[in-house]
Amino acid sequence: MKRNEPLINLFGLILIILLAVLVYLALTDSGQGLTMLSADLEQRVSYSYLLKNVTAAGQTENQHGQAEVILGREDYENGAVNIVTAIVTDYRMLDTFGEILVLFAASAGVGLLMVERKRGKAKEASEIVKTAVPIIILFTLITGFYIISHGHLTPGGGFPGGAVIASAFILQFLAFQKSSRNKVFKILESLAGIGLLAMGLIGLYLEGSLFANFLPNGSLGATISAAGIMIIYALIGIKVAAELSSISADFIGE
Amino acid sequence: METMLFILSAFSLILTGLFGVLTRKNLVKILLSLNILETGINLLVVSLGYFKGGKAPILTNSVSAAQGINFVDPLPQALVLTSIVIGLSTTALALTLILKHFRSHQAVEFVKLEVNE
Amino acid sequence: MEAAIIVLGLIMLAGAISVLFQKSLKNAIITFGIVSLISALMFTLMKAYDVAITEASIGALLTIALFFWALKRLEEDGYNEKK
Repeated sequence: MKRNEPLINLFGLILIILLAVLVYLALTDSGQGLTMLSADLEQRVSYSYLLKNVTAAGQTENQHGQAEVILGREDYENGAVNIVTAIVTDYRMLDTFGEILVLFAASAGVGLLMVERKRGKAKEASEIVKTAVPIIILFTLITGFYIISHGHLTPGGGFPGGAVIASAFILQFLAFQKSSRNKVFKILESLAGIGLLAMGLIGLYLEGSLFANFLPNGSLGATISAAGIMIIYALIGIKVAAELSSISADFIGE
Repeated sequence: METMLFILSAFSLILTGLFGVLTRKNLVKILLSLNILETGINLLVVSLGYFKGGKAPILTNSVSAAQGINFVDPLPQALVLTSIVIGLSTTALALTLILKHFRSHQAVEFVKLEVNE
Repeated sequence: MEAAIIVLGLIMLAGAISVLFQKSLKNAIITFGIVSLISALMFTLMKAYDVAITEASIGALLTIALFFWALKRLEEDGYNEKK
């Protein structure tokens, strides 16, 4: 096994160089250099996401007939200032829902396939760790809730906020070695999933398309605005936090 | 030029990860190489939406089509956001499979299956 | 800006290559964490702040933690790196 290693490395290197040459040829196919780079933003679909005029009902124009977005107005397709949030939770929510399903399947698979530990429990944490961890957990939870609740205004949202909250629970597991709360996580996860599906179905019933935005937008840019996006991101945050915590509990626990 | 450099560094990561997947024998190393590959692909997809002088896609002032819109493309960022979370969950599943494999074969390499006769 | 991208890209490439050729799995996992964090920095250079915050919290923190827990379990089962 050992003696073949340089040969395998050489073979891999040759394959990689071939692939690099092929990719370079494919990118410069049209004779104008790298054509992918020269695409104009106005020709991309994101242009209407940025102007919030994807559907005909969402057209908002000034008196010259040109699309524009003004902070403080209410009649847009969604009330998110952060366009990435608008895409994740409104325009392409079906993608996000599928991603949530993949996350659920992976978490269930980890719970099903995890082998049990052979040896007994790990060493107990020291007194300093046990005293400091509750305070750190408090600040971590505050940060996580802040990131989730400001997802429509600032960078962040349900995915990183859920991960931060999950890291608070992981700290608790590591300090106190209590990972038996797994059932609570499973219930929270299921409730958040049902809530997301319910949001989608209510949108389908009221507006005619799955995951349509049916709640009031509020004034664009205000702290409390975009009710639908806030609810969806809160549900995503709960689901991601519960799933990542239960995966980590499976890895840490017996 | 900057986009070109971003794409080059993303491709270097992709090719390194592919090399690792092809040549390593340790399963944990293969999983690490897959993660490097995934990081490279995320960098590539985001860099396709970047252009020099673009601003972050967060509205801080009112914008209109007449004055021109100068934002980075937000769609690749939204897609990569979900891809990172999926990457973590699939890594967790793969690690569980590696643990299972070690329990039954006592090795973290691919082993030849021997049929009892 | 361009010099920063070149330096960061070279560090990332060196880290990725050293992940593959390191003997010790623990060092390889730590090096992968460095690669992941630098890629988060690259995302901020590309003005993708949402992606950067997600990569820093998930890709660089939780992934490394999962790898370490799995390695600990492997060692409890009798896996030896020296072999």
